[in-house]
Amino acid sequence: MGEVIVITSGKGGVGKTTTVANIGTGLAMMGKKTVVVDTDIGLRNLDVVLGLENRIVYNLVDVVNGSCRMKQALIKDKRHPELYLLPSAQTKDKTAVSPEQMIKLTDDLREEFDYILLDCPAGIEQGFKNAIAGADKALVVTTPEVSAIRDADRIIGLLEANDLRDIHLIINRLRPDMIARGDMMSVDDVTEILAVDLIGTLLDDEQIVVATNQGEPLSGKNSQAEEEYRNICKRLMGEDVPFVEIKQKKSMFSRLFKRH
Amino acid sequence: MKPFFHDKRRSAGYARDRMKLLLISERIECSPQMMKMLKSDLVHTVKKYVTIEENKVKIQISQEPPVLMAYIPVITKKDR
Repeated sequence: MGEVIVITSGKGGVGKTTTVANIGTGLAMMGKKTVVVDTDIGLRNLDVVLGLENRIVYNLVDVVNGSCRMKQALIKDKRHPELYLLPSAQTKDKTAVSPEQMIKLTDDLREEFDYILLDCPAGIEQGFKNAIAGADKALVVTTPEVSAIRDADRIIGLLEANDLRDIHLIINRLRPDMIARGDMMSVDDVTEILAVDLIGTLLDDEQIVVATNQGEPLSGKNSQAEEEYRNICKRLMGEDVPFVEIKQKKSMFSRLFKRH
Repeated sequence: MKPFFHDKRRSAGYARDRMKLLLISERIECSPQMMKMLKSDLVHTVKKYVTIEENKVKIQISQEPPVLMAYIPVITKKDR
């Protein structure tokens, strides 16, 4: 039986889809049969981040409506034999699916996959309710900014109110230089404020933008962020991977003599 | 006199303090305005029984677990 994990944040643009793509790819690379599900109906985007946008025939709404079988809608990633995508519909809206239908869908996927990752839409409306309905575990993505943290706290409250208590925090886009000079909240600050278990700390990393441009998450450049995505996968699999300290990589001197 | 070094407490510290206050009030559904009213009601009630240093009264709610704490300095006969 697979585990259903929803990746959510409340606020948009903090890196949910990128997180789903990278963790999904990481788990598949580690040999776990994984499906990533885009539950943002009407605003499809997990497909482009994964570079699978040209292969969509059927989508989540088609499956739920019975217009096609699950197997027909699942897109197999040729680069990673264990990775599948269930894309969202572009033409329907969020009311096209109900929470009950999502529970049925995730239960069907549990039979086939080790991990089912749900990319939750921003906001707290129908799309959010659908995405969390069938989930066992939630990963809340935030950035060290007041707006994202406030929304993350609201989301954590709503998850708990819906009896989803296995909640873990991912802090995205950390800037060691800004933290060092006291202009960005640190990992400790954010975890203390939100008071949930930490599962990942990601630096603001150009390589992630490059990989997204190319539609190839974890393309093997071994940047710090890619390494941490792999660590998150291991932590999800129950391994105790210590957190790398967030600090400036370059010394003062190397920065002074950096060529521009 | 302008200090030689910058104030250590830069924007992250302000952000952290603002967030702590805001999220606590949101979690217990008690707005900063209601906290003010609570404080004035508390002062009003306590004043009926003892003399207090009203301008030093502080109330705050801790995060985990949420506990309402009131700091109300009392003036004794000797201080008066």
